Amino acid sequence: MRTLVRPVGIAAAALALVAFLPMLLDEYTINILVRSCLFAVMALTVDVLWGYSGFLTFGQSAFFGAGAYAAALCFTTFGYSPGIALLSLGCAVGAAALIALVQGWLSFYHGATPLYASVVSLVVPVVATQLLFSGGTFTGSSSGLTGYDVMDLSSEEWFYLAGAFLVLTTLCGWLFVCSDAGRVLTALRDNEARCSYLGLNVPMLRIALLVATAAVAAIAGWLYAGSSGVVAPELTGFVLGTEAVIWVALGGRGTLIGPVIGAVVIDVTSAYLSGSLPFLWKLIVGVAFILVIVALPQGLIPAIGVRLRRLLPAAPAATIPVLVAAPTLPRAASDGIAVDLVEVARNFGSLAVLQGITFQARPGELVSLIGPNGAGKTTLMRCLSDGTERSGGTIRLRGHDIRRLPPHRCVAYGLGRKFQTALVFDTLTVAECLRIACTRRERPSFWRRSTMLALPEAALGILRATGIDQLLDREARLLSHGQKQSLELAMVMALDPSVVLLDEPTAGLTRPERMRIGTILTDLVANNGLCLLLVEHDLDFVREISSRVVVLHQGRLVLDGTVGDVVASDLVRAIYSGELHG
Amino acid sequence: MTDAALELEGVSSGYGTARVVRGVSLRLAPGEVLAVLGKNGMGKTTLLRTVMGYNALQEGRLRILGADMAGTSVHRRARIGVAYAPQERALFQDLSVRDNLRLGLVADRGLPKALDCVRALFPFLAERLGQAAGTLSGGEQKMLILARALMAGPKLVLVDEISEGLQPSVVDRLAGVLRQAARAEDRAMLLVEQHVGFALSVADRYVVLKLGEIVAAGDAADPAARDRIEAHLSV
Repeated sequence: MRTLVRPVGIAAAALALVAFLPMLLDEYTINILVRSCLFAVMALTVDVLWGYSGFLTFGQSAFFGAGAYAAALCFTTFGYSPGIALLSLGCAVGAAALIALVQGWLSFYHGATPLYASVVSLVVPVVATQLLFSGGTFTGSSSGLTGYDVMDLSSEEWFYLAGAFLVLTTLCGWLFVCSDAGRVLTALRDNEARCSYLGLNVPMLRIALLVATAAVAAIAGWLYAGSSGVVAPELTGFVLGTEAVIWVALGGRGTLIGPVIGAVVIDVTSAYLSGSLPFLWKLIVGVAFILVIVALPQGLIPAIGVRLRRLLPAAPAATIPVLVAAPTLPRAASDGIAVDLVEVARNFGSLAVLQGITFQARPGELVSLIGPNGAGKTTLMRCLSDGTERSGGTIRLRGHDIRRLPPHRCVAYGLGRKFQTALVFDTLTVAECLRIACTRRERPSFWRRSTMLALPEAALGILRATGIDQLLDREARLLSHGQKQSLELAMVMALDPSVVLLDEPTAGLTRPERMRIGTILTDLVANNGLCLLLVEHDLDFVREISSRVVVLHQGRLVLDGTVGDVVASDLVRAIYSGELHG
Repeated sequence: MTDAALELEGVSSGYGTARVVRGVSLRLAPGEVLAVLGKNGMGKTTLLRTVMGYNALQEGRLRILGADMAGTSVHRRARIGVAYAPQERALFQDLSVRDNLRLGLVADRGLPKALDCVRALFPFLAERLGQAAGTLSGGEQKMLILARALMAGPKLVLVDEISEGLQPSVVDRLAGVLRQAARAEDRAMLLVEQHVGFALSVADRYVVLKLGEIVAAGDAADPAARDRIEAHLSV
């Protein structure tokens, strides 16, 4: 509950300010402030998307404009009544959500780059403006719509409404970004690949976030149409969308409060100065933008002082969750084969990296994949965990054909994968990284942080064996290379997987740490019926823990046998004594 | 007496106000190889980063080839002959192997000589100069990083866990290559390793770091060295 005191206190103070301001200011300023508050709501949505989830968008104006036009069109066509007002609000939210769905579907799919999504976000407002231009008298074309009837409220009353809306959305935003669910946004920004290999449906999460922020921006636009009594195509344009990005950058990306202050201050100042200095003003804003980007890349508000940072949303440092053991979930029965590969192949153009790989692994088996550097071991891991990777052949995970399914669907079949270079969430703490790994099992709260972190025994064992259970509040980027490896391994085990792919899990660890992790892994295989595929170069380690060894050489499976077979094999000796080079 | 290749006196450094390396003093003569061992998170990589100039000195003095390095930027250190082979994949993934190597040189003039050196170290790299570095396997990328660090004739080489992810035969060959490079060209080397056997086969001396401080040091040829180091690693 302590975490609620600060945001709610700040929100109460801000509401008091909204209540008192009309007594101090003239009507002109109040009218401008109404607009500024609504623009600030749009800036807030840009900050959630860009500052927190890492999606640089120029298109939030399209949703703001859609909300405004929905109101103006409804009032122009049907006149004003409270029922029509509600209808228009529904239209505003619905239209914006629909546009956001289409934009999200175009922007986010498995393998799309962030740059591509930003380009689409530029196109959407351009298309929206063009549609309004070509709408004739219905949309008012370039002159927009005006003179429609709206709720009969005074400037002060509109200001109360807009101000309260801004304060409440900021409060909700604050609670959300600091909550367990909100940390998923940062995880998406830090490492999308890790998210999908933790079973999160990344495109769906991104689309849902875009739709939610679009709805909020549309409500702001709807209020704007009511308060100003005029809408113009510029409201949907990418110039406004880009201005919102500038407000966020100047105020401080990823701080929520910074963008709100940035939007209000810049919008009010431009309203005053653009009258007296129409051309110079744009130049001033432009120069200020460049100066801030160069000198204060964090933005103005975070740079003002450490003291003021208390007014920004931040993860309370004191809340280190208590680690507890999660109950073991009953495993669904499978047909007895955990991994089944038939003629799997992978080509890069004319280069065949894998050819005709066929083998099976059962629960309770620890299969080591060995072979020289460049033999295709990591490529095979990639094919096993992502249906879109292979060029031919079929792969079944616990009886399920993975077809062309993306990684998060393979994870749903019970797969866990650890990468060769540890993938963790750099700006999240160790505890938060582990919490993200539990998202699939346990739906996170949207408004608070849990004080407990329930992890399966295997994950706890790895944390204890490597000592990172003592570093729960440390940011992952500050961990050493070996600690990152252990954290990633614990995150994978937190999925409670049935089939685990480990790509050099103990690289960068000392020999005693290796042996402790080896014991944990063999225990899991023996007692929990885990099926483990391991890529490893340390032959001593392989010999000690494997139940079977598969040898790859130049993309082909050359040997599949027991540890004894492999040690006795001339081929393996040739590979490992250096007579053959990969 | 010639200048030491590297000299540290009471060096402390870290990230922000956090101190990761504490009061480390050591001296490395030209042609000498020093293995830096220790458990995870004990400051080995931070020590290398401090020598290279990525982390500022919080305390102490750092001299390379006799020159004080206070306030000297990373690229100036590289110019006077310090090369760094980092642990993480520090390659330009979309550039070809050749272009990655070219970026390790001051001018293209030196390329033919550098390529000869690369060919001698890792013959397969010379055959795949046109391939994008990102399409090499993990182990092959490590070899490219090391080749890039060694090819331009550096005076001081900082190597971070090069044996990780390499097949045993390559690791064995590397030990020979690194030793010979150090002897033949008076190249001093700071070698961070987890693989104790490999480190001792390359190095002349070793130090063990614990919580950023040197807790043990000695001669790599000492038959008891391995046991002493393992004792520190297992605690």
